[in-house]
Amino acid sequence: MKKIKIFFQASFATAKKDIISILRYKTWFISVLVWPILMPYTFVFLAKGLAGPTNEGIDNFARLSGTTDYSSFIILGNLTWMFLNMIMWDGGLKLNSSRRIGILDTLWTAPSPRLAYVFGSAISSIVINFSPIVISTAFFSMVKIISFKANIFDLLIYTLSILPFIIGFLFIFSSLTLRSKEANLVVHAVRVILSILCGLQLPIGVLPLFLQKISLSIPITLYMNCIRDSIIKGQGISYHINSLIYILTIGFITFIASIVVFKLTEKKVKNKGLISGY
Amino acid sequence: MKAIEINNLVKRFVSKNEKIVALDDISFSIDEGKIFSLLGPNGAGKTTTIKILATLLLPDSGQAKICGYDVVKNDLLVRKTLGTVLPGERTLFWKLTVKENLAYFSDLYGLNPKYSRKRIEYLLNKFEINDRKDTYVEKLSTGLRQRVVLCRALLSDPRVIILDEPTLGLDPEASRNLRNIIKEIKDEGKTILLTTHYMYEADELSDMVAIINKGKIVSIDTPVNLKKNLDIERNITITSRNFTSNFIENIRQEFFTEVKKEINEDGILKISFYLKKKDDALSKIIKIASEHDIIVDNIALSEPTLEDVFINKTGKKFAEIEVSAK
Ligand SMILES: Nc1ncnc2c1ncn2[C@@H]1O[C@H](COP(=O)(O)OP(=O)(O)OP(=O)(O)O)[C@@H](O)[C@H]1O
Ligand SMILES: [Mg+2]
Repeated sequence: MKKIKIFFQASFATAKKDIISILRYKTWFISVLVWPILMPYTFVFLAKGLAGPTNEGIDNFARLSGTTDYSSFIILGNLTWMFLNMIMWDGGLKLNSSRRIGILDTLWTAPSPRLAYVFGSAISSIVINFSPIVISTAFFSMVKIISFKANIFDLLIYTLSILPFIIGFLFIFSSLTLRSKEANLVVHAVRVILSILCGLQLPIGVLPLFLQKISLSIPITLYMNCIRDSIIKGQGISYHINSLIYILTIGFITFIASIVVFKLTEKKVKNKGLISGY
Repeated sequence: MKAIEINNLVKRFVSKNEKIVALDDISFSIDEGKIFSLLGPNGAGKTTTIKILATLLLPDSGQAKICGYDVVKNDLLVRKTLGTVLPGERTLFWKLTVKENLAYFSDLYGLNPKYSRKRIEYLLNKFEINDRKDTYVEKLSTGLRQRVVLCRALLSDPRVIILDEPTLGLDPEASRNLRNIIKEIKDEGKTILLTTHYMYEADELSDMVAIINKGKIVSIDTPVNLKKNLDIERNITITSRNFTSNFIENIRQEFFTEVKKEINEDGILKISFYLKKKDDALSKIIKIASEHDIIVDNIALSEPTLEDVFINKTGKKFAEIEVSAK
């Protein structure tokens, strides 16, 4: 019990510390507010260009994606992807930089479980990045680029359900950054692969069939479909109950596995003295 | 119970296909309420010892206990019992204020907010940094920052404090201040293990000193005993107005040694020579002097420093001797 209490106390303290530090940088609102509104525009214009003057591209897009509303499709994909990305990588990258600076070993001398620092970063990523996503979705709905038909409660359920998978992913990535110094390389490679595989910026219909199969086994793809179907088509949660169960099951397994991976990594790090950058 | 107990600790590393024995079977223990220094040259294994105690490293074999808790089996309890200061500039968050840093670390120690608020205020006052509590850590001088680091280590009122080179990089005044703080911490009944490069620091602070070299403890004792038992030559200087050549010859024969003569402005003659063994040398000299009717103005015997002990035990000389800080 005590261990759990100190885990959450340390996690929330870490989240609070991260949030204070971020808000202290005066440029935070650019990445947090301006960026989610400007970035999706570039894709909308690109899509407009590709659709051709008589919109003949749209039929093709509709055939692949199941909707003619390509702006909503792309914007939602991008916003969701930005949100998930922050949670998936930030904690690991912070861990890496705190090791580089030389404060990680001092943190590890405190009696809180060491996973709490990573978990705390995940909380701060969620808090920092959630409201911009909401604000920009509201913004695009207001300017009628997105036709918002969803039940907000459904969206929250989907988002809560994907978190165990995403946080598990973060724990595994964090373990990796402790073992290898090439964390940034991993981020870039995996980010591109996932963004293609999970249909974040393009419908997965463009992928070869075998890749589509892989794609549909990744919870992120299913989550993306749930979000889009709810917002664009107004489909209720009952349409996606199977996806939801799948997302939760895989999420749970990933989460538990990731804790084991982190514990094993911690042991390895303590054996080899990797923590101070040897 | 011992505050720290280390038995046959071994730690090896493999670095670039090269095998390094960082700790080669070391054992020592520290009584509660004492200051114990680990003194050794670069790469001796000081930090490795500290890191094993702080549960940042696993030993290959052997045992280490803090207040009875095993560092491998009870690592959480060990970390609760310990306050640790690791070397380096960045052991606080520079973009947070002093108070924010301390509040954050209190949470990492699971302290309750009411207690930690009081504790932080107490420590800030005690170490005279209360007026800087809202300053960003990056804006503090290294000396003040190191005081905040000590506050941080004391947040949970730990029974044992370990300090890895706490005065490294401080100017003489700041490092003297910090040594005084370390003594105050001891006066509160805490046990302190520190590593240092500075002889006089170990000498001034410690109840016990272990000299460590190449992963082995070569000597362990109180600073006084280490110096006393050192079997090295001491320099002896005698001043008088009426030395005679017979007297000097007598000294030469008695101590089998070269005798250096010098005259200063007042015409006083000074002789100096090296002694192999101290024992009854002084009384012998006085006896010989009275036989020759020599009026001795002064006899000075140089005592070995901890540095002499160190050089004698490790065959190494310390590069970093902060003479001006004495
Ligand atoms: N994680 C590691 N991987 C490989 N070698 C290591 C590691 N940690 C320490 N070493 C090596 O072990 C030996 C002991 O190092 P340690 O840091 O304990 O020395 P030290 O006494 O603290 O020296 P210094 O006075 O320089 O701080 C050194 O040769 C060092 O290079
Ligand atoms: Mg060291």
